[in-house]
Amino acid sequence: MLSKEPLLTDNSISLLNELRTTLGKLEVALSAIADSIVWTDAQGKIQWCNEAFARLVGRRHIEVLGSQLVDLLVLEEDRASHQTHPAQLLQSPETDTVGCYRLRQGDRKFILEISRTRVWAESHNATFIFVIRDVTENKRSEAELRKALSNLEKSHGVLKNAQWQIEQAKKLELIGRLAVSVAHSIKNPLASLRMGIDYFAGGTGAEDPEGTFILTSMKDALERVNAVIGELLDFSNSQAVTMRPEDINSIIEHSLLLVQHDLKRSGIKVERIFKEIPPVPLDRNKIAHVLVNLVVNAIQSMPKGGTLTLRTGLEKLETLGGRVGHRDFDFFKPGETVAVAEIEDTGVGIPEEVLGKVFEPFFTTKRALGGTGLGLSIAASILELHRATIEIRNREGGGARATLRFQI
Amino acid sequence: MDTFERLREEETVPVVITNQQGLITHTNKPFQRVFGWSEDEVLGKPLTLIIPKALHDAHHLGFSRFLNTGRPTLLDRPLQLKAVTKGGREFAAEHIISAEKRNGEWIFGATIRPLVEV
Repeated sequence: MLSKEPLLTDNSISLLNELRTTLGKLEVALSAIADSIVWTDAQGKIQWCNEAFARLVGRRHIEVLGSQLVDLLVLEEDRASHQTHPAQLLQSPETDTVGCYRLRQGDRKFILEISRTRVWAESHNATFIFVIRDVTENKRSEAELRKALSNLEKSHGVLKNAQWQIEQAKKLELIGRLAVSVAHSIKNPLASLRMGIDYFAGGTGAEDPEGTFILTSMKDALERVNAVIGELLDFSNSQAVTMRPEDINSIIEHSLLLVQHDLKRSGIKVERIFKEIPPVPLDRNKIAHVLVNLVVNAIQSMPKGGTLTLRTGLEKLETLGGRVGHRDFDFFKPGETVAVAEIEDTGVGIPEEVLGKVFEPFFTTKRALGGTGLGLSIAASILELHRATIEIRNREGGGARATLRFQI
Repeated sequence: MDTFERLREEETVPVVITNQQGLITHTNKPFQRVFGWSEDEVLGKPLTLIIPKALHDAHHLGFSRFLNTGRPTLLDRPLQLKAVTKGGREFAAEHIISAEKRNGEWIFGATIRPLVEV
């Protein structure tokens, strides 16, 4: 039965129409955006949502109304962060919150950024507005970008290391070539000189002690020059290695035999603290060369006698740094067990200011003694070829300690 | 017989009809019995009278949207929605809502079949 009289005045109808138009536009606008928008009451019951939210939860718009948001939008529990559903704890003093949440729908996984805003529509009865944004793609691209960046950084590290190696190799090659050519061109004149000295030495006798002394000094000098040439040739030779599983302890014994006279002459006591070490793949002659070099350095630092300690054992690498790490140019991984050989002396030690230079080619503090400055640099390059490391430090109680580490 | 003629003659299922402003222009006996309102009490009153408070926003927005766009989203198919009686009791009911333009003005009609004892 239709009412006979108009139910509203024309004014009211036009005001109502105007408001309806505004509301209609608002509804269309809110439903046109991609983010989900949901209003709930203070208990989390849905009062309104836009189309995007209905699509997100796979329900018809009208059916969503009156449901609890917590029941409809089932988020994956994140035990690690103890995250609560944004539609819970609505009475908490936090009025506005933003957070990322995981949602699984069948096989699909989403990452949602949900912001919650409290609206005090009535003084004691709050309404909450949730804006839910699907950030799955953003997060994925973010993760991909981060991965790409880390890959780039990694390959940058590899390149830098490769560049460094090429530079080292070039330097070595250059020095090697130079050494060979110098050695070869000096060898013959040296042989003539030596023959000459021997000739004169044969002619002079007890009647000319001064002449004998001079000739002996000349001979010594020649021996030293020969030694330099020998080392130069070793240096140029140090790049090819023949690896075989070897016992480090026996190589040390062998090296000590080679210098036993020097040890005796300087009155040096030798202490061996050897542990059993599994065979280490290495070039026996080259490592012996390195050990002799280090022992000779130790002897030279103890002209008035002392103690030479040789220590071997296994060590589990715990701290990063040096060549320990996961970078491509690292020799050892953290946690890896390596074979260690230490040569310790009670001598004068190494001045701190030159400690960083001892492996530089041609750097020597013993030029007067005939040092070529090649010994440690050759040792370092030999160890480098073994993917082994050397570290030289001063000991707290005086003297120096060289530590070699090998992969087992 | 068109939809609205059938609605006006419905005698068992509660029926309510409103004008374009959403004001009630007709109810039937079953409606009055289920909702507890007399015909006089509801005529000219906004339809929100029988809609739970929590759904008023949704009603206003949806109703306004339809008037602005003419695009129906929920007409002529059964919908499970809550309704509220004069005594304030909310109950689930199956609504079928229809709309028709008469002389340039929309009229709306609905059957509201309670799904529980009221």
